[in-house]
Amino acid sequence: MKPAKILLLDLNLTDDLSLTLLTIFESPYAGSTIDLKHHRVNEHENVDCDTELAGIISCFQPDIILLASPAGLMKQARMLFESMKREAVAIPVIVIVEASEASEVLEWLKLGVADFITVPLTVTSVLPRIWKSLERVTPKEALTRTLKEKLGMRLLVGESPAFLKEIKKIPLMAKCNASILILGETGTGKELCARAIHYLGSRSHKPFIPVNCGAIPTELVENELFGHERGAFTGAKNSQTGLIQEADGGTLFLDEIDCLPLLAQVKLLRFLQEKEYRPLGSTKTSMADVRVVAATNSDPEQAVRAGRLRQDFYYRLNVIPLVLPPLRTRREDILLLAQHFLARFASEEDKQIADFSPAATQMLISYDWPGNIRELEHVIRRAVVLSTEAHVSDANLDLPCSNPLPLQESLQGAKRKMVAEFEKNYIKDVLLMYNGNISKAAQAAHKNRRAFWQLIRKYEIDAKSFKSGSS
Amino acid sequence: MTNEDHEIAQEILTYLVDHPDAQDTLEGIAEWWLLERVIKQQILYVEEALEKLVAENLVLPHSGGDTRTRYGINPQKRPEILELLRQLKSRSESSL
Repeated sequence: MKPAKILLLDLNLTDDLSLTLLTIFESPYAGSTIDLKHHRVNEHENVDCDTELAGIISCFQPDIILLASPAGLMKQARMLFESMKREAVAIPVIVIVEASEASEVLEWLKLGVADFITVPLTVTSVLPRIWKSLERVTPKEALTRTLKEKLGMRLLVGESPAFLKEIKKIPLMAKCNASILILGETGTGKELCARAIHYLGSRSHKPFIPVNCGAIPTELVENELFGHERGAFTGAKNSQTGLIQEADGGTLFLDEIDCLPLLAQVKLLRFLQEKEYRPLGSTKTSMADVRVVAATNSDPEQAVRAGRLRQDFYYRLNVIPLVLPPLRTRREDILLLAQHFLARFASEEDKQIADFSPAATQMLISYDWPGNIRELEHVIRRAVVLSTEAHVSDANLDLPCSNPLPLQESLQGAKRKMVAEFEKNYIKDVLLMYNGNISKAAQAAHKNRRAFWQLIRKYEIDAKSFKSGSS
Repeated sequence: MTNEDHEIAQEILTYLVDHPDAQDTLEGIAEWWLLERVIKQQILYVEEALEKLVAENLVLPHSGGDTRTRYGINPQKRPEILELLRQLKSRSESSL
């Protein structure tokens, strides 16, 4: 690897950080010469990319800028980063932060930092991020990545604000190396999102290894994850590579993470912290560069209270959470998804089915979908196979009667429901577009503010939740 | 194998030759590997078409300060371009 030049812009008062970085860069793991320049930034009220700093960047020509700030000076650190952007400083910036609050991390990624590192700095937390940021991307590769992001994100179908709010995080999560915990009921698309995070990031050409932890017998979990040496146990005639080694360089997706035995959680926690693990029967530790994306359909805090999930393991995984809403809370996406599946399966079955009957539409929207998108997909696939007409009728939909519709509904009643659904979705869409600003949203909807506010109250919409930065 | 099967097999193998460490399940290969192959192929087709159009002086390259090239119409060739498009359109209509 060619020598690299790194500029540390430091808002801290002590020299500890630069000394720690020097130790890391001089370690045998660094692999090549790293020239570190330390510049202390004064914590003025208006921190700026001033002439002195611009001169340093211009003369030193760093390959990477590390921006370090204590928690109390985050505002100044952000101002400094934004002023560097205005001065067209195109060098990748990695921010060093004291604590990895998910909202703080996402804000930095949205601003455009290349990655983030939390203190304490270690060889395993610093060096992989440095190497990743040093990779040079040709214009054609950059174009491929941009198109891949645009087209790839279309795999995640949905327009509801709750869904879009989460999905927008995916390209940001893909840029960094942090562990991700995906929460969502069964069938909400956790693996789909995990894959998107992998393929939109720099590990896209390395292995993506999905593992359902709940499907592996408890006594075999450690062997599956860490592998074993020959003779590690009776019957171990040959050594076997574990899934962690298989995923080296890439992503390991652990679904149903709360099903892992506690001992495996301990070992995995050590791996997350040190990037080291020990195959069964081995006296030597091995290292692997693996990004872990975990998922669960249960409440992790409840699982911690129940003793099924270790708290330290949960906190280590939950650096940036992604929470996928169940389908029943995003009813405006049901028809969109149904039509998406209809187009796919009609094409596969070579049938000319373009639409759903009004009764079928009503059934689809009203059903609660406990199995979420996966259940919807199966229902539509079955309906396409059974349908003999140009549309899917309610008779083709094989839905349980857990929340049955009235069999006969008047035209007025059905129309009222559809209008209400439309109005509610429209209000939400326009609030999203105007960032929760009721006056602007009302103006766009050609309604006076009072009438618009009455509609918000009628549909019990929380306008504040549409403001950016709200959780 | 049908012709389509052969094409898809070729795309998968090309992806693996380009990225020998890649591994994924059926869903990942169908959704992401083939998507990337389509994108790369499309970029290649666009590049070749642009080279031909520049060689025929119908499109002009403009080099920017950041060394990237932008492409625009050669305004002096507009009548020729319109005639060419008319010919291509009538050729495709007659082949239908």
